[in-house]
Amino acid sequence: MKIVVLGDKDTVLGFRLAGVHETYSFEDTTHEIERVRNKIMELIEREDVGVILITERLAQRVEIPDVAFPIILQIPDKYGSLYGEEQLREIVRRAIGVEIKR
Amino acid sequence: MTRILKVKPTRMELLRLKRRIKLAEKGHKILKEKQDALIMEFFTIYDEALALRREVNQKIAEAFEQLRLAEIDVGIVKLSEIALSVKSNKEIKIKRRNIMGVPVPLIEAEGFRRDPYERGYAFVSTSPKVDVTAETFEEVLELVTRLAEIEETLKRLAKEIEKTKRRVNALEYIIIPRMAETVKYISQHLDEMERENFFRLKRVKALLEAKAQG
Repeated sequence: MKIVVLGDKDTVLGFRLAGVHETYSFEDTTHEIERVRNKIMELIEREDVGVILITERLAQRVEIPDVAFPIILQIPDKYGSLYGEEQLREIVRRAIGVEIKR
Repeated sequence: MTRILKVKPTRMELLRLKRRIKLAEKGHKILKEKQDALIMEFFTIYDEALALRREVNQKIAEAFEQLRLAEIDVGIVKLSEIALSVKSNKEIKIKRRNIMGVPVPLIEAEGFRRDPYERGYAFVSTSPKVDVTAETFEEVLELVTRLAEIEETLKRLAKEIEKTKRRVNALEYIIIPRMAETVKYISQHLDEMERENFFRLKRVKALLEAKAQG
């Protein structure tokens, strides 16, 4: 199955160099964000997409649908990570009810 | 909070309810054990995910640094051209795996790392910096697919834990107390009926005796 990258120009360029099967770059405008949404929906519908990588900055603008398949993973872009480990901690907080510091 | 169930206060219902309580308690115990096991599993994976997340973030930062150097070296336009001629990497396989009855994905992806000549661009027009960048991004890709698997597993386990927790709590705080309350109500009612009956018999007997004498 394919890996698809959604992100800004540089992210896409980098992952293209690594030979990712499909990449789509988007600007940060209202119109483009709408396109991102449509693209995500389209990718979810497709059978041959296994993993969608989306930059945290784009993911922040569109709400990521809660689907079991394909796997959608947020990755940091060239400016670094927005959340760090915060998102993982959030999962723990929801599941266990308390936060565990390590 | 605890209200009683709508049942007729009969001996049959009492027996049935007692059986149901026993069943509910058994279910509660099993669910509780499941929850504990899930949480243990969850934390093992959480540690892994945390470590991997850190690694990925670091690697991506490194990759973008390399990308910048490559852009400086050959120029952005040229680099985009090179990127276009890169051959697609291997596809991944996604299988399913079970952790405590929770279906989680298992991504089979190996060997994203390639030799420069496998990438498909011409060496004449590029520079070693481009090779290094491509290699770093391939490493990123490898890490990221592993992270995708682990984070997804973590999310699904979290969801399952939540669901189990809700069930355990419902049994513990609502369903079992409500049934116990009903059992109490029925047995009190039955006792009351018995006392009433006893008294009635006494009364009748007294009346009969009075009649016989009078």
